[in-house]
Amino acid sequence: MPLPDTSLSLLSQLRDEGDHTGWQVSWKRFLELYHGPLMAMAAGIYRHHTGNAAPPQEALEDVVATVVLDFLKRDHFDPKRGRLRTYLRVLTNARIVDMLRKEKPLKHDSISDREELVESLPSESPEEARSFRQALIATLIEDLREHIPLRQFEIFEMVKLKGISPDAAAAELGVNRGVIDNTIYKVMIRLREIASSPEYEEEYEKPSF
Amino acid sequence: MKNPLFKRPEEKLSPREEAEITKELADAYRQNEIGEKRPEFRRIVENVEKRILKGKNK
Repeated sequence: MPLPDTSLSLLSQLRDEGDHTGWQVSWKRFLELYHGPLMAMAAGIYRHHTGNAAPPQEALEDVVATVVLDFLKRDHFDPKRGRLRTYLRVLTNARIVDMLRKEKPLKHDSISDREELVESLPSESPEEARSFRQALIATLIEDLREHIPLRQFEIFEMVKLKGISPDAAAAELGVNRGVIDNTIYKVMIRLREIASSPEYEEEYEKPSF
Repeated sequence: MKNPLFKRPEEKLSPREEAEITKELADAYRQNEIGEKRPEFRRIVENVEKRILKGKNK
C-alpha cells in the first residue's frame, strides 16, 4: 500500500472543492478536529485585543464558523510553505479584529491598523497549544485510517485508542492473540511512517512567535 | 526532548516511549470524541451550514 503523497494529507483533501459531496463531509470533519483549538485561539486573541475582557461565547462561535469558511474557500494554505497553526491564527486574528471593530471594543483606540494587529498576534496560550496538538494527533489518526485496511484500524482503535486489552480484543474479534500483536506492530510502524513527514513534526512544535 | 512519535520509524522505541505514544494517541482520540458531542460544536456546524445555504441561494 503506498504512503500518502503529502503529509497532513487529510487537510489537503478537505479543501478539494471539486468533489462537492466530499467537501460537504470534509468541512464537518475539519470542524470536528479543529473547533477546539480554534475556540481557544479565538478566546486568547479576543482577550489580547480587549485588555483581557471575557470573550462572549456566541461571538466566538461565529468567528470560528467564519474562519472555517475562510479556510475552505481560500487557496492560500500550503503545508509545504507554512504552518497550519500560524495560518489559522492569522485568519482568526483578522476575524476577531473585524468583530471588535463592529462592537466598539474596550481598547478601540488601539485598533487602528490591520497590519499592526496581525504583527501583534499574541503568544500562543498553553491551552491553545495543548488543544492544537491534540487536534494534530487526531488528524494523524485520521490519515492513518485512510491508509490501512479497515480491519487493521479496527484492531488499532480497540487496543491503542480505546484501551481494550489485546486479549479482550482477540476474544471479541474471534482471532488469536498473535493476530492482534502482529497487527498492532504493523500499524504502529505505518503510523510512525506517516508521522515522520516534516510537516507533522513542525506543526507539533511550539511556534516561534 | 524529541517526541518519540516523530522519531524515525526505523529507530527502536523504549517501552516508556511506546507507552508515551499510546497515551498521547488515546488522549487525542478521547478529546476528539468528547469535542464532537459538545453543544458548541453543533452550534458552529449549524452556523456554517446556514452560511453555505445562504451562499447557494444568492
